[in-house]
Amino acid sequence: MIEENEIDYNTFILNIPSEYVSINKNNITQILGYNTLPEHIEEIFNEVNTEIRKKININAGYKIFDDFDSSFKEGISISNIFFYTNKIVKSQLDNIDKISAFVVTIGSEIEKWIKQLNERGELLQSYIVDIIASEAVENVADVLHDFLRQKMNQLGLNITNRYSPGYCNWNVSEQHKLFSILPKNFCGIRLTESALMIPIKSISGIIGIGKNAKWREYMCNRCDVKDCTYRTKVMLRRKKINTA
Amino acid sequence: MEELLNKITYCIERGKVNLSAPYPPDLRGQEGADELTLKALDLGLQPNDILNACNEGMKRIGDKFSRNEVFVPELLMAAKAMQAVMNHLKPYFQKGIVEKKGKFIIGTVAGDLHDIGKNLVSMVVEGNGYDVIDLGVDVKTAKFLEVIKQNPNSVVGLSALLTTTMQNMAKTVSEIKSNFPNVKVIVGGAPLTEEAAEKMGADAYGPNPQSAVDFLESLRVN
Repeated sequence: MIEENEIDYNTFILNIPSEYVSINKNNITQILGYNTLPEHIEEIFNEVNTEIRKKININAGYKIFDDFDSSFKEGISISNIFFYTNKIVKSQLDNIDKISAFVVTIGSEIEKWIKQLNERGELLQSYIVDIIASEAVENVADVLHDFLRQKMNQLGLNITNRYSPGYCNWNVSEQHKLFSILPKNFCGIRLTESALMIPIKSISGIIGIGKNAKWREYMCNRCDVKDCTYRTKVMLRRKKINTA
Repeated sequence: MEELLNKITYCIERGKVNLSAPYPPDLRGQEGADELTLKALDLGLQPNDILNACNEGMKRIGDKFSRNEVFVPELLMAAKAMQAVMNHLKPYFQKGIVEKKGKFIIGTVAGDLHDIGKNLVSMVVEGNGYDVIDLGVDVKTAKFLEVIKQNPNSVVGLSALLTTTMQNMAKTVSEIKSNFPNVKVIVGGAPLTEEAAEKMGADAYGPNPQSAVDFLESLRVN
């Protein structure tokens, strides 16, 4: 069961057990490029998928902000800090009352493992662990997202999709602003000068909250990045709907 | 003899490392690049011919990857098979019996820790007969300049995954070009485009590992 602790005003830490992370083999298959996972890749997948669970150290948290302004053309303001999100993200945050900034991570043990596998020349295993780890951290973000949705639904509020610096034409350098409105070293994540999160397998972002907030699919057709994680997810979702 | 070399090419292309390797499943129980190379050397085949056979295998898999016929796992398996051959050819390189086609210095630029793309390029370029100096990740401009100075006839490959580090890449390209105007630079990574590469003064943009090989080969022709 997920436990929530309020560590400061409107600032929450979630205790998410690793059982909540479920790696979807079909997603991994398609991310790797296949329609069906080749036998030998499946063997490696099964092997590392069991091991990965032991190495995951989940940390997740979010802060809700009431001092939010979306009246700008190409961005939003949170706690008097202007985020130049660009139009795609901005357009999804109209008509919301509050906003939450969140971070999640699966820790740094996996990175060490990936490095060790590389050093041992186990290049394929290392690559597959990396792909599964990315899927795992997305999974944790999904869990937090869903937790927040249920919590807000109980209050009669809805939430939007989640948006992260570095995606949907929102420059990754804005990550510094996002971290500036969160407690220092929130969930054990720090930011490098180049806006890279350490541990690497971490996700940060924002989620809009409000009575009129709407969850909308990512607007990949308006974005230039063709090999984005979220574009792949959107395609997978569409494929599932079409084949259902 | 020709048949043996063809088998080595095939093992590289399919990523069959050695007899005990379970991958690929249809070649289970068969000799791999490791045993076939030893056999070829024992039979007196020229190391250079063995290397050429490997290069052909890497080229085939690299081309297939560029055409989306195979994916990263197949490329990694081929690189591992290639590594098995290189371990046997190492003494011949050291004695100068086999010569590499040229030197390629590669690294992920300052501030960036992503290495999958960089490693793939590194492996494919090496597998195509080049001496690769892999500087790793988060490589400062000064380090690139220092290594170029030590290896003046090299070609440089820069990798970046973030838009923030793409700016560092532009600075590195500019510094390399002002210090070593004749050194060719190829750039690649998720945020890069042909246009961005040109704008930062790079000589080429590599959207996939094989394009780096093609660029290096074009320099040899010219």
